Amino acid sequence: MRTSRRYTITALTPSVLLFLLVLVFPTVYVFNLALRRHSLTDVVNNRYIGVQNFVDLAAGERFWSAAWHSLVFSAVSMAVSLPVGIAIALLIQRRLRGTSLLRAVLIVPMVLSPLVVGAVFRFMLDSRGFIDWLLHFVGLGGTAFLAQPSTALITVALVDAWQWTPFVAIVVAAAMETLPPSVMEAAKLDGANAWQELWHFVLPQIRPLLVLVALIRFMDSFREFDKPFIMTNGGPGTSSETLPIYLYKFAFQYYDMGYAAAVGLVMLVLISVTSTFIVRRFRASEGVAS
Amino acid sequence: MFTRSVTGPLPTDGLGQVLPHEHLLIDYGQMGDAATPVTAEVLERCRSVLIRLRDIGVGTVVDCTPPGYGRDLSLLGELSRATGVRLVASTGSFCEQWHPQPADVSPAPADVLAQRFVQELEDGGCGVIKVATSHDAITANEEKLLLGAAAAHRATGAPIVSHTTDGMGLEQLELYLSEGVALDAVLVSHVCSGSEPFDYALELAAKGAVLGLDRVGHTSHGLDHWVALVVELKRAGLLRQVTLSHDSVQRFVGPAQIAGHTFSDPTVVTTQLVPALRRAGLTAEETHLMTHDNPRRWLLREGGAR
Repeated sequence: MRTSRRYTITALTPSVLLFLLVLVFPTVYVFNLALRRHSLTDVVNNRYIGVQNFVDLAAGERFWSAAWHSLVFSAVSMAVSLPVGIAIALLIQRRLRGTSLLRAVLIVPMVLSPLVVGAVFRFMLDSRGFIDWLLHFVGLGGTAFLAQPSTALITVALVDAWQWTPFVAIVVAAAMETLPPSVMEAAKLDGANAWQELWHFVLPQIRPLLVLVALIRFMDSFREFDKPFIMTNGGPGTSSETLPIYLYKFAFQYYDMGYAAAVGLVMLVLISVTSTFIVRRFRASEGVAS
Repeated sequence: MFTRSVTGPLPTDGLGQVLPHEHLLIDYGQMGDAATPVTAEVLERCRSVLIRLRDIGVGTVVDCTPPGYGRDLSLLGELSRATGVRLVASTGSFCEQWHPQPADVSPAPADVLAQRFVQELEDGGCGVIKVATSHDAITANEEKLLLGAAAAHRATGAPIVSHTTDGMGLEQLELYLSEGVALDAVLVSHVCSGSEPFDYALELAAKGAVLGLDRVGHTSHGLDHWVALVVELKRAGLLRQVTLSHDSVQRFVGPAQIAGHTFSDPTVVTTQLVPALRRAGLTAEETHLMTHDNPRRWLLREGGAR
């Protein structure tokens, strides 16, 4: 049966309109904004300036510092959440006593608002907070982790890892459930120990899902705003200033919307390029032509 | 010449703890003759805050609200007499970061502004000159303001409170220096309350300016931030240039972008920061230096030319 042209247009119009409204229009608007000097507090001097915002951005030391901090933030958060998440997934899969309770508890950090998580950890990491007390108690001596330029960024990234490790654990555990038991039994018969079983049998089979999890974790952590905002606001100085915080400050503290839009577009490009790189690496290693 | 409070000249001793950057009332409507009336409730709030400050040892508060932004000298005088806390009022003006300057400020040349400031300092009951710059730039109008403040300072010796918006303190100091202002008369305000690295504070202090660590208590930076910064300044031997304050306000009427960042408790330095500094290893003499001696020296221009 051939679909009439009229029917096709009628059927597609709502979704095309929605697509234009929620995706194309904001993107075009932001792109237009990025080509303007657009200050909210000095409107008389607003005008088109071409790619000047991008030139300023590329020449700005603070922008590159924020980009580097975003990469470090993502790297630390992923480097902790992925292996720890996989380890917890293995624990879940062994169905020990209390596993169902563990599953339930694991969900808690994920359902909390990142802002709440940030605020709670800010209090706990304060120089008179619980973690400081704990470190003193075990004889290590505390420090104001969020007030030291050398530790602030890493500390916030670790809190991000704390919140999202359960996500990795739950997704990986679910993937492990789908593995055919016969393969594991064969591995055991071949004399594989637990580590070999994980490394040579389990991980290769759930690899596509792991890449997806890594991709989601990268995109989420690279865009993370709430926790750095509430915990350090990018400080001390700019020592924990990531790109979202940098963008926020230019947009909503300095009211330079044109420059902030340019930062947003560059972030979009950076996330897209890095995500594509991760997926292509995965495809290449799978032997799939890209 | 002496420094005036709203009720008369400041004495050379007995100022108590000095908070060099606070506000009681801010009202941008004043510059358009549309100020919101001060209700009895607001007045009572100001009064009780000042009494609380007096009870914890604060004897002198510099109110950094310039004319046009809600400054009310008679009300400040009334509150000072009612509470016993000395209030020092500001002449000067503010930056263009969030709102245009008052209509009689932006078109005025620097020498006219200077004359106005001098008149307010000599006959208007003001004690300090408040000026300000925007983020990442000193606009043409702001430059005139700073030049006017420098000239008024040269004429009267009055101390300058120089607001910064996330940096530009070093550029401000360059301008003051070129205008012959002794930098120990300049309190660079809001140091390290935004994205400025600690080195920025060290550099300002090394040039001889007075540092205003005066957003204590605001949510953007916890107490640990200020403690870490003070410890750095102590390590560099620069504690004699540090002052502590809150930039608090009891009622704010103005641009929403600022209203979202206001803070109203001017007791945090005394009740929370000083104890935290003591825990971090500072002596009582060192904290006293920052809360009493340094702001007094700046305010009275002790040791400086007047």
